[in-house]
Amino acid sequence: MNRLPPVLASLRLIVVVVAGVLLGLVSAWWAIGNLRFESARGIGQWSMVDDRSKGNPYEAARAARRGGGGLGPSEGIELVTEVDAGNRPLRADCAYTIAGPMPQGVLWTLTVSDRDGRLPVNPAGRFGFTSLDAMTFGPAREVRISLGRDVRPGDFVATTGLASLRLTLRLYSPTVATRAPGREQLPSVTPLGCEEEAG
Amino acid sequence: MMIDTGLRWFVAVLFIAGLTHIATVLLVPGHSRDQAFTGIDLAEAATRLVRVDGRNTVADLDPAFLNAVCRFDGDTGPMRLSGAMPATYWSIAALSEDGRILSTLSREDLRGTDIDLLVGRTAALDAARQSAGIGDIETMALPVDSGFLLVRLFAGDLDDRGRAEESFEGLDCRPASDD
Repeated sequence: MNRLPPVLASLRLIVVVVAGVLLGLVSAWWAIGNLRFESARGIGQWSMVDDRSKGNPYEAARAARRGGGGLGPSEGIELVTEVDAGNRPLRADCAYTIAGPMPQGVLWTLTVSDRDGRLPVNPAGRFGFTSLDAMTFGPAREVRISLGRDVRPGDFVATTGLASLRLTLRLYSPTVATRAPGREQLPSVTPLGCEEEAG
Repeated sequence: MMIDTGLRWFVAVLFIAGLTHIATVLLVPGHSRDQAFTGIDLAEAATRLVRVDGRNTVADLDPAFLNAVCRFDGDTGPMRLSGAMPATYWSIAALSEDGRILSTLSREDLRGTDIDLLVGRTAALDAARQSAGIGDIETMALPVDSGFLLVRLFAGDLDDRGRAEESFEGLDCRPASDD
């Protein structure tokens, strides 16, 4: 039996404890922050946020991390996405277009932020669009909003200063809170290109 | 022998990681308690509406709205929110200390734009109505003693923001016992 010297044995114990704690913290941070583990109802690429669902500890942790302030049943619903239509994670160095229909007769707001809710910093002070200021096209009044670091024609949100990307679509109507829109009533997010591809 | 020792330490790492993971997930909500509006002056919010945005709250609020909170707690009794709301969309939400929604009221729930709302526990609401002699008033009964009343006024463009700010200036949120 060749035993380790006490110093090395203690060192190994410290390494094991530190590695275990770090692994636990990182896995918890990843699981709480990852929308893919959201048990909330998904509508296409959008996930419905419900801060009231406290049964699942991960949901409770996510709600707490968001800091609260979500919408109640008589206010409307909140949908978020961190992936594009191809289920690839949204990247702050890529440009995207959000195109398609929006629920009719409902006040909606679309907000561009990072995953921690920080808003983009741009000279126009533009962090999204609403049903009252977005351009609409065709009889279905479809929206076409692009976002990215380089200015594009039409409705555009500059994502300058963001390290990650999250889109939040809030629909203000008690009706949509009881009967959520289908995926065919919501826009989809498609990539237009990324900085390294363009460069 | 070497493999057995390595496997044992690997299992130990996974065991500690599992415990840390579970403890972290369970502790996050408790640790976040009272964090929703830590950046505001609570004493000021107990007597009037205070505007909140990314600078003084971590709550995930819609930046297309003018958001403001006032605080209620069991010591001061029910809060009374009164004034004129804008013609654009608005809503009021009662939140727990950690920012969880308890009850909401929106434009669709109210006739007209004038609001007179009493917020608190059911028993305290009845007592406040009797002592202040208030008959015709909207009430929001809550299951908690303390929390925040969040007022959201739509401010999507400059015109809407102007209307929202005008309404905000005219809104009064104070303990009902002050009447």
